[in-house]
Amino acid sequence: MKSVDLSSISEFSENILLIKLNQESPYSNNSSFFLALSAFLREESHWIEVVAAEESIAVKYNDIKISTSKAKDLILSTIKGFNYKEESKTEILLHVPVYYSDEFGLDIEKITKTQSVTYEELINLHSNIKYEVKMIGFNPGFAYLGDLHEKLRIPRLSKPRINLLPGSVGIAENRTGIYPFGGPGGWSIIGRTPMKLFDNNNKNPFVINPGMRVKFDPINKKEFESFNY
Amino acid sequence: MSIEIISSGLQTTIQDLGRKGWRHMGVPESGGADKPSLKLANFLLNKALNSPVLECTLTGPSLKFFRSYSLVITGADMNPKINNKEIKMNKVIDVKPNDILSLDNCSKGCRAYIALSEDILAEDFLGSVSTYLPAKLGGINGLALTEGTLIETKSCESEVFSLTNKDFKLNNPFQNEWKLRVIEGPEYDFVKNASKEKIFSSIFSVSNDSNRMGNRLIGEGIELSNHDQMVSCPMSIGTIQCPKNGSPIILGCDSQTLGGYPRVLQIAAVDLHLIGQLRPNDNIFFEKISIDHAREEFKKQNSLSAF
Repeated sequence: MKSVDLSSISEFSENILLIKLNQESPYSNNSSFFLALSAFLREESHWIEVVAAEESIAVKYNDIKISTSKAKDLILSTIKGFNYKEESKTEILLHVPVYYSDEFGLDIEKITKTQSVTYEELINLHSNIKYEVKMIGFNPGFAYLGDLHEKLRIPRLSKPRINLLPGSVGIAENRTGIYPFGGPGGWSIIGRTPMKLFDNNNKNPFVINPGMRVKFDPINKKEFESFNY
Repeated sequence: MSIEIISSGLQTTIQDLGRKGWRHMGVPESGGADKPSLKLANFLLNKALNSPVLECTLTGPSLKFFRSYSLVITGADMNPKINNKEIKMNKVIDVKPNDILSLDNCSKGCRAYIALSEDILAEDFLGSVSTYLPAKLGGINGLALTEGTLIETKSCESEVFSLTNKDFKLNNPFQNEWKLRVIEGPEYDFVKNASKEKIFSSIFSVSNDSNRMGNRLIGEGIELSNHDQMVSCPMSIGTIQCPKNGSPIILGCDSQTLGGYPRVLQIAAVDLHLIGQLRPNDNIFFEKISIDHAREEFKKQNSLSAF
């Protein structure tokens, strides 16, 4: 593959390498390329962690056992066997029910004002898109979904909140996402899902994974309260 | 009932060596913030190094025992006492039912580790019982221990030995002024040249706003030539991020896996455990070393380690 060679691998720390594309990307969608490549690399047992971001991958290795040049060679030889076809992805569509409301949507009223939209318009603009998983990270199971409708694009909060409720649905810039466990977060919150995005009984406990699309389905308060799974 | 928390201390959590291999799903390693001290506690009890221990922060807890145990306390010295009688750090100590262990404040370092001869029972999440407070994972209900919490233990297979009590020399690194060795981070060249010099000649102090996620530093502001918001990039424990305001943040063991601020420096692996012992108002100065030198130092440290 032409787009990754030795010159596109750099050192992040003593035992972490960064992989980038060394030229204009031949793909229309870099993030899904990096997610797919990172999953492919993760199948090899050499690596302690393989983490994809939107435009790079971090690969952590045991530098007591593997030298840096050996690690680079292993990455390049693995990538040789990687065959990425943008079109041929089969995607699972996950429906996530969301109760859009002032009750849980801490910023929904403010957004309707700054973006000059009604509540109904906001809900339609947010729930009419089948979002792609662009990246996973920041905190456990948090999937960056995109792209958000242009009319809803707002900056991150200047001061992040410390303790969001689990299932809070947020937006920032061209991304939307759900906080599976709550906790700290700097995105504007427009609603909450009653769905559990995490199941400790599964080998991979996370419900949203790379390669999926996510569609939000608006529900009312009664449906939110009686939701059961 | 095995152990009762009489007083909680500032932040006492159950930790082991952390979760590996899940950063791609946004799960940080967690585990003890100062892993060598955690390992030493288990090592002195002849336990598996990954056994769960109690991590105490700045002010330690008081515990009441309902069974007999051997225990070891390592890390920052919080003046531990059994029934009000001083005991030594880094030594195997025997306790019996109704004994009370109390830890106080420390003046140097930030975290102490209490390891027990029995195994502490806690909730496993992705192969580790380490407590991760932001998402309430691991530990007991994912929380810091509070007054009245009961900790259950079960006997473990390994035979506790006290041989190591004899002459285990400990290199005590705890101080209030730290030299931290760093290597250049991926965005080191975002730092203006004048600022590059200042970083290595000035002293930073640790802000009160520091925790297991990160240590915020106060000092000479770092000026960046490139203020563009970066696309989110992979982060690591020990990455020194620099937001627009110029105040660097050292990412800790509970830090986020991805982030959008320039990664200007990286704490060398050989000094990585020290960031778990930084306390508010401690002074820090950075020494820049090459990545090859950093690797040599880490290998040297590794080969000298008894465990």
